[in-house]
Amino acid sequence: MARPDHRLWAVWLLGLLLVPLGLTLARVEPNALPGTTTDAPEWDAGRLLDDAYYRSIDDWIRDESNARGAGLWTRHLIDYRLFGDASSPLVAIGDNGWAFSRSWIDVPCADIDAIAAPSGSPFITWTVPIAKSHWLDHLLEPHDRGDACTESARKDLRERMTDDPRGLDVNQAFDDDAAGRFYRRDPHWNGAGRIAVAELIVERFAPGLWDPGAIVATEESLLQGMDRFLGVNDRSTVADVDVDRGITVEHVSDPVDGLGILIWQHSRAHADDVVPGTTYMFGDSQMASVVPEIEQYFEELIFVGWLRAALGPLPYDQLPAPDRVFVEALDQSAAQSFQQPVLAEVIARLPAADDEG
Amino acid sequence: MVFSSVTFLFFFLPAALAVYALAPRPLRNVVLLLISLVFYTWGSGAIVGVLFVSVIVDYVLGFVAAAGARLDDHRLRRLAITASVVVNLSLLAWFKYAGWLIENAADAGLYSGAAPDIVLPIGISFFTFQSMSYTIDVARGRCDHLVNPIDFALYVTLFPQLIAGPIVRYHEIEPEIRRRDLTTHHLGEGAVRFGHGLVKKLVIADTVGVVADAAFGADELTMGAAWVGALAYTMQIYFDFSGYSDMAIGLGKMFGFTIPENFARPYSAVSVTDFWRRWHITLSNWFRDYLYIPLGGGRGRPAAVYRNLMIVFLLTGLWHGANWTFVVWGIYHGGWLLLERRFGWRNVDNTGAQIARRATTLLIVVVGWVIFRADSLGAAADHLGAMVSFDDLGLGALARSTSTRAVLTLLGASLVVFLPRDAVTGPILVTDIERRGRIARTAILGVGLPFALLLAASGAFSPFLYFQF
Repeated sequence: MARPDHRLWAVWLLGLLLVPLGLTLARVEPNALPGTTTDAPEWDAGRLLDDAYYRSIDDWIRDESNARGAGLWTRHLIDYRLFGDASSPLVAIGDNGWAFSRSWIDVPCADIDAIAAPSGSPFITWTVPIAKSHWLDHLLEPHDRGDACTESARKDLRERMTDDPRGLDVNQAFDDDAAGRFYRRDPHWNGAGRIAVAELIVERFAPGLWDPGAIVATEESLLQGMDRFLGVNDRSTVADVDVDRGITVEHVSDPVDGLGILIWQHSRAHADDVVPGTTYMFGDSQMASVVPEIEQYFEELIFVGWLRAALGPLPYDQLPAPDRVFVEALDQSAAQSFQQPVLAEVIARLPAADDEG
Repeated sequence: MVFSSVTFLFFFLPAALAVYALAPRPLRNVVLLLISLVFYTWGSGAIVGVLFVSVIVDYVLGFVAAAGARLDDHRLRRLAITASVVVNLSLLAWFKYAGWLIENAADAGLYSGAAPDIVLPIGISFFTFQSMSYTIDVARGRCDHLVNPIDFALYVTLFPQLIAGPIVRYHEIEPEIRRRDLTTHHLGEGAVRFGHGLVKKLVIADTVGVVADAAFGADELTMGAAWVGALAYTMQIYFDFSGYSDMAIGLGKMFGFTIPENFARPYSAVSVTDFWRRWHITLSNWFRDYLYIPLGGGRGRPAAVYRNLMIVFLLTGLWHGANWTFVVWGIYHGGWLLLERRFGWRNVDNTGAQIARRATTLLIVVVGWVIFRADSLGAAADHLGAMVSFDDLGLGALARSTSTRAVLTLLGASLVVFLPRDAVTGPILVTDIERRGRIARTAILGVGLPFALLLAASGAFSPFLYFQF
């Protein structure tokens, strides 16, 4: 005869196992999760002896299970909220609390580490958010923090930048006129925005050298930024700059099929009115657009563009040792970049702020 | 299909229980057989055919073996046993070892062709051994042969233990194959054991496994990281495999079967001999009954006994996989058993030296797991070298992949080595009606089980370690 508590445990187990089914019958939708979910497999009698067919069903059931959101949230509560860790070994927690996929950061982290280690401290620029933040597609983290988190994180980051002598907060270039310094339908700075950022950077590195007379502002494209989405070269919207200052541009590494690391190397003769030595600049499309505006102020400026994926090792043997490293970080960039945890890693390994070069 | 997957937990198991409970008693074996075949096909696809071959061959040979036993015809019995062993070991040799043998032959310059691309049927080491044992037991007159092919197929393919054991011998569940009841008592007892196993697997094994994987996948290890990695794997493989066994026993009980215990607090062993009485008990018993004793066992000259021991453990190692690491791991354990027998260390007593003996045995076992887990002998040597390098006690890069939950889980799991030798949790949870059993049961099932299910719902595919064997 069954002991009462045995019956209880049987009911308990079966009750728990039936929770997702019960939720489905009650038409409770699965939690909205980040990332793409597996498509429902189509019925195919010809694949009934194909184990891959069953795996696709497993993936679909897992993704569509009503319990998945609760499971993710439980792990998140324990690992992240309680211990401050990522809830998956595939995820790294950035310096500001954002979560990032390690598969995205390991290679660039190693690259930056190799370049930055022998250098002085980096200057870090935090750019203004220009899109709603959201989690990376493949993170096992729930999408629950929304705009509040974005605003909170941005505020936190700006405070840090203000307090950190290594930091350069370019938000200030947009505080007064954010709307006029972005494309209307593109999350990038327009010509005016780039000039404002360029001025901040040059003043930070080489006070007094910024020459507004070298800038010839142009009108915005009629496309109002849609040209980026349409794949049209938007250089026509870039403010003209005085390029007649002995700058040479060398394309060291081509991107492959639009992906990979793109390096531009800008050199000019040593002079009193340039930032001496070699400056590395890591960034993506935002900072890349500023390079034409600032390159003339540097003896040697090497821009390393972090494009979307397929990051490969840098050609170190072709690159000179850095005198300083300048890293772009976007606080809005959780959806599209991996810079922040990279920075967290880099910052942890670099000399203290007092060593700033 | 994996016990800890969303598909199994939330859909397959409830549906299987419901269908089984609603089936008329005469059809229950058919229903359970179909459930088991769906379970296996879900994970293996067309390779289910290999399972059918083993089932059909031993079903037919059961008649031959039974005739030999009934007529006391030595030749018939030998014919049945030989045919069963040849067919099953051939399946095993081809699917599990052919690729590895060809690779080694190519390395030695004896073969120049490409190695065949062979898919390993999940659980082949388990179901071939189980199928063979039936024919041997019938031939020995230890049990009757089965006339109904459905009953025999169910014995071999019974899904709770089909792909990772415990290895069930026919005489152990013969009465239940023929008749069993579906009761709330069985359901409750099974639920307790299944829940216990699920907690072991999802809450402990998978968590500490992250640490072990990071350590064994690292290019360089500090001494501290090497030890932490070895300890993490020691805990992972125990909680993973014993968790699977608990789940199999629990599932078996839910459907009315009593599947034998497979673990008895192995990390409290006071000798390597004692360890093998507590670790993967059904495999040890299989080798003892079907190989060691027929070879002569512990009788005869010491040299013959040592030879028998080394053969058994060489094959035990090889049974786990086609890699030299498993071979060396088997020889390593066989060597310790040989030494223990030679110098009388295997005797278990209750003297004050027991703590030291437990610690020593555990150390031997941990070193063995490093050999077992490593991808190659070279990697094993590197890991063991790091464990005695005395260069850096820190965790180095391993710290990056070690979460606080993993550290706490590893520390908590490691307490298992300090528990009393007779504190075998699974049976205690089911049978002990005293306070400690109730408290443990409530904690594990009341808190641990929901947490484990949430982890299952949130996690990625995580097969049991013993599926690969």
